[in-house]
Amino acid sequence: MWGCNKIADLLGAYVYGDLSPEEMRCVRTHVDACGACAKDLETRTRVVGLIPKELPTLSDAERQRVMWSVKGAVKVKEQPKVLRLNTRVLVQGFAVAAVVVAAFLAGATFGPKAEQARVVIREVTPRVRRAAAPKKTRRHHIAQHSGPSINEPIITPNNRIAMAPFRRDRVPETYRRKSERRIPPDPNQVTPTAQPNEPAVQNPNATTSPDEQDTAPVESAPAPAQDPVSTPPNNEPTGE
Amino acid sequence: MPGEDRALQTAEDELLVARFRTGDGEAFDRLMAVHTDQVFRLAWSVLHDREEALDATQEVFIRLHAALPKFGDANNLSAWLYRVCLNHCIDVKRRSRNAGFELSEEEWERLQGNFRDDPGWFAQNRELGAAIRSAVDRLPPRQKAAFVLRHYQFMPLKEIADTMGCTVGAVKAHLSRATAHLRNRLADYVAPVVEEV
Repeated sequence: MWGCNKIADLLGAYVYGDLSPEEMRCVRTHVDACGACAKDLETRTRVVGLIPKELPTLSDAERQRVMWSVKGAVKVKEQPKVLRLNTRVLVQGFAVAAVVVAAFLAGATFGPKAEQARVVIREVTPRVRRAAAPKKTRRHHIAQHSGPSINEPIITPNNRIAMAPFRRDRVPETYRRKSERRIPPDPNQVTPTAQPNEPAVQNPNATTSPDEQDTAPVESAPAPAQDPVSTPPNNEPTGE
Repeated sequence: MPGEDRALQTAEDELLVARFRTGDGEAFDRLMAVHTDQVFRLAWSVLHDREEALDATQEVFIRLHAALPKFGDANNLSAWLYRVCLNHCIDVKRRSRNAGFELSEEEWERLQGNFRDDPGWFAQNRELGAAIRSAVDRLPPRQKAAFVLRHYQFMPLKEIADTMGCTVGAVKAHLSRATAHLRNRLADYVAPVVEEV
């Protein structure tokens, strides 16, 4: 015996007579025993009977209209074949244009004018290199000859104290020799032949002016472990 | 007998599809002549509007023309036509319903179809006809498809299952739920009759 839920799923087809003989028998048996399902079945049967089965029909004019509309739409869809040929020509044209542009760019990269541009770049570059080099050289010589520890911070060019070691009377001998080669010596100035004065030990963090530093006694500082040839044998204060 | 008629129709469809593939344009015209009425009636039973049903019919045959070269089995031509027509009409209904505003019951009935071309019964029972049309229109898509194909097209359950792409048991369930919805919405029009019994 089937329940009401299963019977409810078959009532629609039962109304239209679409059930198998066994299903029809089961539904009839349940409906005879269940008042609610019996009422449900009767209501559905009446509602379906209320709905007319007639449908409007097409006139000849409407039928022709549908046919011609479909033919016209189909012909429009078939037209892209022509566009395919034009598309092929367009693609070939773009390919040729791309080859021409590529040849032009190659000439701009590898042609004679490109070589001229490279020469200009090469000439400009050394200036840039020279501007950067002195900073390296200064740092190297400060660390080696000015006495302060190599671990001390490098003084910025804006700091006047940083410029003191580069005064002519403070320049170490080795460095002076190199600078003498570059800068013509002053004929009025006597070139020192005796042991050069020990350059004053500069404290980068000192706040005194460079003039005061010149007269101030030099503080004792550990002599840097350097090449004995370059360093002066006697560490005497300047005492000026 | 419907079975024999259907078999004859299927054989003719196979022949016409084969001729169309060889380049015979008149074969497609013949296919249209045979199936236009059925497709229009199905479209009208879902849309309840003559112009929309004509547009839907055109759309179905345009799609058929595009799909015929790849058609595998002409036995399913009728089922294919019904399936495409149902899906298209349900989409049209869904788009028109999702226009962005909700219609009241009276507005919905006023916008339903064209009474000039209705059968005589609708002309005499306009209110009931509008109520029936509204109730059928508000069925869920699968239930509406099963109900329309069974009630208006007199299709057997097996063909309905092939058209909808489901089992016969599912078709029975859809049919039962559709009739339950119609019973709930049209109970006022039948209740006095039932009470008398």
